[in-house]
Amino acid sequence: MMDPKQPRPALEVRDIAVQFGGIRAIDHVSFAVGKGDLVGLIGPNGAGKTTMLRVVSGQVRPQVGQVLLDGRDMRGFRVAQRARTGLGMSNQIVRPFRHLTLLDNVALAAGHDRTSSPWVAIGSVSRKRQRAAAMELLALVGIASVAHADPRSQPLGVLKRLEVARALAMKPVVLLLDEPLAGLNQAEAGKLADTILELNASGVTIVLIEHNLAEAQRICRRFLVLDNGRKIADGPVAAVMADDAVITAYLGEGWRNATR
Amino acid sequence: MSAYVLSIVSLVGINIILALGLHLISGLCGQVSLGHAAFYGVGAYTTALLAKAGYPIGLTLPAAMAAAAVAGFVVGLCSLRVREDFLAIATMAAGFIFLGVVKQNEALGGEIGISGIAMPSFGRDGFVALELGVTVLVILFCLHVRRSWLGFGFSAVADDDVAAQMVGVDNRAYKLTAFCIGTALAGLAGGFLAYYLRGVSPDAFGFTASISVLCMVVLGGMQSIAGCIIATTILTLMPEVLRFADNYKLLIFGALLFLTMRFLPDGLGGLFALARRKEAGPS
Repeated sequence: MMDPKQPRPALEVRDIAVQFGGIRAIDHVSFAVGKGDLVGLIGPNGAGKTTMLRVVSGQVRPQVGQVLLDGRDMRGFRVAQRARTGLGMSNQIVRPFRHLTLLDNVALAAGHDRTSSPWVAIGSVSRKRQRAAAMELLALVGIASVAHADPRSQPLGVLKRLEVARALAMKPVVLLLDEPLAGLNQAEAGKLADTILELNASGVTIVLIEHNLAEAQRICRRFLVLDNGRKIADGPVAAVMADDAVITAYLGEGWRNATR
Repeated sequence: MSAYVLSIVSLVGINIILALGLHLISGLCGQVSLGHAAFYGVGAYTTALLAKAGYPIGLTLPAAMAAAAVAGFVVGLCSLRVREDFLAIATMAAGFIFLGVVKQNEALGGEIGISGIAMPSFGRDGFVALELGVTVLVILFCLHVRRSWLGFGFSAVADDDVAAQMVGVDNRAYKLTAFCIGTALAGLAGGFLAYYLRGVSPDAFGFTASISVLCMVVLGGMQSIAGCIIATTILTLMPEVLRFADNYKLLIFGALLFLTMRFLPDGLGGLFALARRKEAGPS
């Protein structure tokens, strides 16, 4: 339980369980992410990270459990409502709007008050203010120079940053980044990790799902480890990485026996 | 202007309203519909029945739009469950259901349809003027939708409806809105057609009609309102200007649809954009 004197967590997941047919993808997992935190959600392939992310984002409905965003129960909220409530989401496989410039990709998100319903949207034309806000965000993630480019002409590194800028434009309470470094070379990954660290330093709460453990260890303050749908560790990065259960989950029993 | 020219011009206007309706649904919002003629028919039959009952055009046309929009809402609900190829099949089925119901229903004139609809009290010229005026309003409305945040949201839904939700665009509300507005326009076009032909018959609203409209929208380019208007004008005039073309209408439309998809996926609109870029010179 949270200490009542503590401030309300930005994101709280309570006792989530998800079953796909006979497979238990997530087995009663709970955790909380405090405001301003930078948490790495890690675990081997098939651990349930992506399913957990989809539960939080509203794409998968859990059989049991609750997701609270800034103290608000998200039950019955669809993806778009969660996004407007303050959940910023970036995709592992980049999904730019291909027919919009990079700037308009972000401006659309920055104008989420304009698109809240078709009735509001049809009464509003000017994109000036949202484009200005979008330009600032593109500069923040370092891709302002290609703001007017067509996303189809841009390399993966730029599109990964576009995902982050677009999620930031939702003015998120929590930013969920799904493997932002995947597919990037070492230099690009390092630079984007630095950008993520800077964002966090400026006050953005971030949950980072990442396979690149080296970079994740470098920038995260806390690790949350899932394995076979269960939470097996949660704490400061150094302590988690020294945890026997975590080492076993990643490297298997054999490795431990071999080093003894 | 001769009566013949007037009649051609009004037919072009009706087809522009009809095609822009589909342009909103399939072009701007990206929801394939192969049953657009059914909503055209709902509008035409609603108008025919009400006009025969003595109601004025000021009431029959809004009623036609409302009836078509309700039908569009129901079919639009399908679009929330299925996408792309399945949606194409579902909308095609909606077209056949409409035809089946109408042909079996004596109150709707069965296979023969309804005839003897009176011209509105302001006469033929007044009717054409009204119809063209409304066509212009519809064009302006569509241009506004495209420029507005509604069009911005539509383009996101058309492109990637999961990503659209992640930026707070409620894809369901946007798809239903596209279906309602687009089918209301089809209903309006149908209402005008009922007065124009002084009657309605089921064959005008079959699968061929749906494909003809689709051909206009595809040839015009899914993203271009100007392209859609030009393509509609050309394809409406073609059978009139080239008499022989009338006999080969299906063949020509089919070939155009195929060739556009294969060689000009962005349609005439894409061609204009290309020409503009060429004119601007290499950047």
